[in-house]
Amino acid sequence: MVLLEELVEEVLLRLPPAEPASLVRAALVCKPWCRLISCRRFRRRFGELHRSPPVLGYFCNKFWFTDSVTCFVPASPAFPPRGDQVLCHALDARHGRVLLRGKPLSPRLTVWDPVAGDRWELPPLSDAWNKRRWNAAVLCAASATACDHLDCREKPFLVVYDLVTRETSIIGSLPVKPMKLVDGGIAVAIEDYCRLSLWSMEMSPNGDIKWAQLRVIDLKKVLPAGVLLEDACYVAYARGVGILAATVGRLLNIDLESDKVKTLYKGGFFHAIIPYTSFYIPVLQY
Amino acid sequence: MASAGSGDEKAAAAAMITLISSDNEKFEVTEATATLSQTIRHMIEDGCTDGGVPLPNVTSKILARVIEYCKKHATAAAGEEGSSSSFSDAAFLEVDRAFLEELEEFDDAFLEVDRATLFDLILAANYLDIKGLLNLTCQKVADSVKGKTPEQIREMYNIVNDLTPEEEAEIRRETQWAFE
Repeated sequence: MVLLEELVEEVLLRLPPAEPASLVRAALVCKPWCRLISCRRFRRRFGELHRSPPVLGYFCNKFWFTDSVTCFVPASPAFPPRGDQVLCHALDARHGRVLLRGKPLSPRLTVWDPVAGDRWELPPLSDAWNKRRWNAAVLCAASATACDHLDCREKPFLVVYDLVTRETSIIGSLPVKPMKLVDGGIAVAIEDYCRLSLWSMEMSPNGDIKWAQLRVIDLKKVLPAGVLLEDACYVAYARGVGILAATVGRLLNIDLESDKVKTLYKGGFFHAIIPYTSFYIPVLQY
Repeated sequence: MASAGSGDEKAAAAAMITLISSDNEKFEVTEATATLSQTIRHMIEDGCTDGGVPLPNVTSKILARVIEYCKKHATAAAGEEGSSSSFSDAAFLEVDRAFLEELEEFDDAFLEVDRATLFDLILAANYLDIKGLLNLTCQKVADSVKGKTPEQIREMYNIVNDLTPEEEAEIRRETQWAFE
């Protein structure tokens, strides 16, 4: 009573993307399963079936002497730990790649794919970029019609720089000052240290940007006792996860469905949180 | 007298197809039930269903179960298409939700089979190209694999481990986090 290989694939494709350990364990069952999971066809089909990749974890930046370094906080213990203390500052993460910068005043940028383990050092930036306030993003270089971004690992990437940071280019039209513009046109703002408001960006046909308030969360009601509101000084939003808030010594996750608060990490004081979203499909060789 | 058009529709709705299992048992089903299978749908479109559809890969025991699934889900599909306006929206949603719940209960009960039957259902769903049934049955097996160790999976599904102890140890070293 053994399933045909073709049907084993149908079964393994349905393992949950949010539990990558299950795929790793299945790959260790026997050689045919290992080959099947590790091949490109499986990766492509897994992406097509599940569509939205899970949040594997968060690149959290913290101050370190006069610099800022990032550390990776896995979203669950069943996720692969990656590059804790890579001694770089994380700028952005998209389509499975992370953009890192080295020393602040002589920025060397690196694009890193933590799942595949690949790193690309970018050529040094000119002196014109020798400033404190600038930002950059890493994008898939394929046009929207040429790539569904389900598996763009092996495709070229594009790094875009912006001397005026993403936040400030948007603030003008938002009724309250956002801490950060985030995932997919959703912004989260903090008001008077005790209210979080969630805003959604809407683009009218003539190109005007409007903000609609989605909801307000009273932090006094949802935060655990002992967490000082004044300290909730950095917030972010990740699709499918909810709001992330960094306070002194804690990284919290506020689920938007239930308003439940979970502590993801104790220690540190993060001043930026960049969710890392990717499918994790092991490529193993015996 | 009814118009020719509606007469044809009635004939189409009542059209029956005969399915013949590998052990030569005949099953009469409506076209709506049979066409949940893409394989049979294509045969009907090509006009090669006269005299019955032989299914040499499916036993009568499994075919009976597959037809049971298709009948239930064909009713569901018909219900969705024929949304009538005789209910208010709220009442209609209520009926819809009740029906979906019933369908879910049916699916759960349908999956209460031994492993050999489950594998045969997967093979049949794949051969007959019935997406919903393939998804349902494969998900059931995937759920049983999830969270298990490689040893437990091998034991459950009688899989021979052809990795040498050295090969296995090497991969485990690389993927330590997945076993903690």
